Amino acid sequence: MAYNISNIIGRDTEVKKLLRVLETHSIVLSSHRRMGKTYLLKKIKATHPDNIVPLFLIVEGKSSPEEFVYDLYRCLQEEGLITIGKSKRFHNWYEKTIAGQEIKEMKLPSFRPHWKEALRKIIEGLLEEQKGKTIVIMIDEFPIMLYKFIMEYKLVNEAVELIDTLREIRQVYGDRGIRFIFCGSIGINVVLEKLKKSHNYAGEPLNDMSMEILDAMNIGDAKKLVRHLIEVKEISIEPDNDNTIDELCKSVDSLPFYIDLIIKEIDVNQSIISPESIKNEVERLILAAGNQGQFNHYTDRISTYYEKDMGKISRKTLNWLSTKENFVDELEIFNMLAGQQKIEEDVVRGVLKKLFDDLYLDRKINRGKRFYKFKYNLLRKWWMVNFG
Amino acid sequence: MLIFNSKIEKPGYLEKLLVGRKKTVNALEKSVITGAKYYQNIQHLVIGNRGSGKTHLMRVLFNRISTNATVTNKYCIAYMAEQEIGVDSFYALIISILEAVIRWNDDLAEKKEWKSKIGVLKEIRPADREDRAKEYILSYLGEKQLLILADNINGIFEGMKLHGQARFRDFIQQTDKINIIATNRSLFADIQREDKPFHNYFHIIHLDPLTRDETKELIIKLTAIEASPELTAHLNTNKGIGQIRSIHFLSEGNHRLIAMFFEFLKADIKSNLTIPFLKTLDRLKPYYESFIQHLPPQQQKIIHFLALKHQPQLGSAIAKECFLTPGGTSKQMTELRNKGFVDAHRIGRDNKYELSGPMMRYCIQLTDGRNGIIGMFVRFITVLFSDAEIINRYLKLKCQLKEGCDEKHDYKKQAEEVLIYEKAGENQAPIGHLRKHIESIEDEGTKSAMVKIMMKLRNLHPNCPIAEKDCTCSQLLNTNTDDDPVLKIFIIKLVSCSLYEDAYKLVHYINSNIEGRSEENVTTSIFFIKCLFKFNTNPEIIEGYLNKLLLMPTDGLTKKLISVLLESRFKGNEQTVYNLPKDERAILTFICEKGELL
Ligand SMILES: Nc1ncnc2c1ncn2[C@@H]1O[C@H](COP(=O)(O)OP(=O)(O)OP(=O)(O)O)[C@@H](O)[C@H]1O
Ligand SMILES: [Mg+2]
Repeated sequence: MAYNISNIIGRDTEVKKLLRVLETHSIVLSSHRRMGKTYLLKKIKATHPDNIVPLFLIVEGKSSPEEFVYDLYRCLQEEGLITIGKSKRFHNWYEKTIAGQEIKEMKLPSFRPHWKEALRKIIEGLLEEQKGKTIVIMIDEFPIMLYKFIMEYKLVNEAVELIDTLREIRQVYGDRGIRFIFCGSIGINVVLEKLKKSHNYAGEPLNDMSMEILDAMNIGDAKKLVRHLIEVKEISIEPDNDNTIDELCKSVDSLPFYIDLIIKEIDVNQSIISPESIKNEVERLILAAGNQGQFNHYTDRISTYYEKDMGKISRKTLNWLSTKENFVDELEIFNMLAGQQKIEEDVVRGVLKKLFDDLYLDRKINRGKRFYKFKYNLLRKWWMVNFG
Repeated sequence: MLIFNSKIEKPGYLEKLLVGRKKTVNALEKSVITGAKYYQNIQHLVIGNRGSGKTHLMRVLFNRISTNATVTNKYCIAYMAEQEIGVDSFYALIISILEAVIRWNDDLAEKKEWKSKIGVLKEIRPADREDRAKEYILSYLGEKQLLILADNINGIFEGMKLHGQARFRDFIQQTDKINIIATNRSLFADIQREDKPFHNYFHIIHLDPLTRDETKELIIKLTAIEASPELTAHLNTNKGIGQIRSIHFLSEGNHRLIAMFFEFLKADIKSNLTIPFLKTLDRLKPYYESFIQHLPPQQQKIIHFLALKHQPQLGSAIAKECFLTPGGTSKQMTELRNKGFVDAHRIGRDNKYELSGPMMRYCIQLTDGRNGIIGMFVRFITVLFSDAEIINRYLKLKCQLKEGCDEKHDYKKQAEEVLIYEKAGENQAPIGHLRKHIESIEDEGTKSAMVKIMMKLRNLHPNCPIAEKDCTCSQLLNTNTDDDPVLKIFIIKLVSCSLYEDAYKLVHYINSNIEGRSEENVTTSIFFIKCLFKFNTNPEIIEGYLNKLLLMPTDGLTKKLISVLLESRFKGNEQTVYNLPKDERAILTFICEKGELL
């Protein structure tokens, strides 16, 4: 599938960086939802250098490892990266085992050894056909697929095996130029935590991969995005200068999803982009009732993926921090929490670290002391209105 | 229920009847066209209550884009107008889409070919068919993109379950070929929650209920289609105006309900709306009942409780009466709100809740055998919403408030005069009427001051449009008054007395007056600020003035100004207002509107 990327703007710095990492390592790429991960992968797919063979596969809806493997195979085949003749063995296997079965039945234990073997065969075949090139298999929504295997389809063992098999493949064939990008929003760490806590999993299956995080756009890209959207939405801007654009980008912290949203709102209201309309729309976005959903992912994330106590403390911390515009001393945060409940300093430190890793908070270290504040001012304001 | 779908199906009619939704359709059309031009993805979700005109809107949109070559060269349109039934998997959805696409394909041979292909698809063994269906649809599309227009998408999403949704989104992202414009009655969990595939995927457009003017517009358009001169004339009478207002109130600006009321109204225009109302209720009853039946028992109970209470109820009261925990109540109330059954008004730390649509309340009351009372209520409301009656009530109130006022004061006569004045006034009040209005000002001081200024002005500015009889407010405001503060003040006073609409210009004048702060200026400002409320000005502007004044030295004048501002700020005091039931609030609004004109 050749993607038209005329509407994917900027992110060149990020692409470059990922490509550099790929020279030596596979990557786990994560971010909050709607940050632009999928766009980024598509850009890589469409603009890769010659020595790279990229594959883009999105897997949120897969319901078993068998299906995942089969789709990977089909995708490679469609892209002409693997030819049936050469991977005949796999094809025969598929005909004999999966075809003709209900998807549900594919979960039968007797198929298990087959999919692993098939996965290895596919990779071998692929390397054979694409000798000398680096093959980058980008798997979008990989963590959520695993999460569903575990939570929804009760395929805990299969999930573990898939993770392990992929690791084995990286180790065995890594030298021959196979790389993966596991991309997703829930963060693969959540999945591993789940496996460790509830299923006694003890491996470190990703410690050979480089952990990358996708953040908001840099201001240059954000402005480019605004310019682009103005053009393709045929919408006017007044005054038509850099300040207006700058204002729009800053008011949404250069988060591409919200840039797009604000411009769409202005467009639907048949208005023009102006300092006034920007201010109005941002305000509306922030003041909109909590159930509107445009910021829900930030709260849902905590209730869905954080352990119960951890979630509670995180919420309290964020509620309080949302009322502070500037950096706050870690100690002050501890005092605030300790004033409400009995709590260890270590726990608070852990929560803050987690919120920092999860892109809720920004951190500054000054003379050995840690200071925190909300990473995105837009989110802070919304949070303050709703929970502050 | 599908009034719009029955006899007025023709595109022209639909386009003409598109009251209050033009902006949305235009925006969607533009989005499709620019999408076609620049390869942008289109993902819109239109949210509007039952009967708020979503199907109508989609139909008009489809008519427009399916006849636009820019669009059809780029997109195959799958117009899924009827609620798709039985879509229980991603595979089933693809079949539905294919069927929808070929339904509108004019090429008969191609149509036949694809019909048989769909037949083949249905025969394929389960493990393969989804893949084959995907292949088929891609091959059908070829170089083109797919644009799905889907009504009530939640039905499809619920049917496909999370599993199907995830596969659908995978397909969309993997192929980059699928665009969707969908509608739904309310926001739903499958797009709201962060762990759902379609979280924040759609750009959401909310449909607002029709305003009073739009309701009138719709009724007038419906009348025009019926071509009934008698009805047209009737709508302009005092009674007709009252009826339109009642219909707006009862229907809450809902297209379908307005159309339904209209059907009955036109059959019996002499009626006092009681019969149309009861007939509408009869039609609606099974409809509402079926909705309520599908709610969880706790929510049914809450709705029943609210229906039988006239006033909005505190969350805590609901919890008590329906045997719920506070947490449970707030969860149920949020769900009911999301489904569009209930409105909430924040009061301190709690909320006051009431049923959104008055009609649902009456339907439930009807079940309780209270039809007699309901009928009386509507009669009452129709009379009450007429201009004459509202003014009557206002004057009566005012009279009662005034000390030593004679109960028998002839407020009826006054009311009539006001009506005449209003009729002549509308937005472009000619000066003659303004003059008349000045004469009727009760406060002798203000009156003589204004007359004095007017005389002075005549001498100073013989060319000022004031001299002309038919000068309008906008002409007046456009007069250059930079070098003549007296003229400026006069004009503002004059205009404020009229029904002039442009509040922003007034704000501008007030700004410059407060800054000056001579006694004359401040008194004038007070006057203007009061006028501002006539125009429903944004509370923020008032807040702004307050802050500005608080920085000034506190002398008598400033204090006076502050008190006026404070008074206006608390005018819509929610705590007390929301003790009143919805209908009384509506009446109050009318009375206030009238009152301020006097
Ligand atoms: N580089 C970009 N150029 C233009 N628009 C962008 C870019 N990145 C993100 N966007 C905007 O943000 C939206 C989300 O992007 P994308 O789908 O790539 O995010 P994601 O992180 O993959 O989201 P999800 O968590 O839902 O998978 C896009 O629909 C687009 O409006
Ligand atoms: Mg994505």
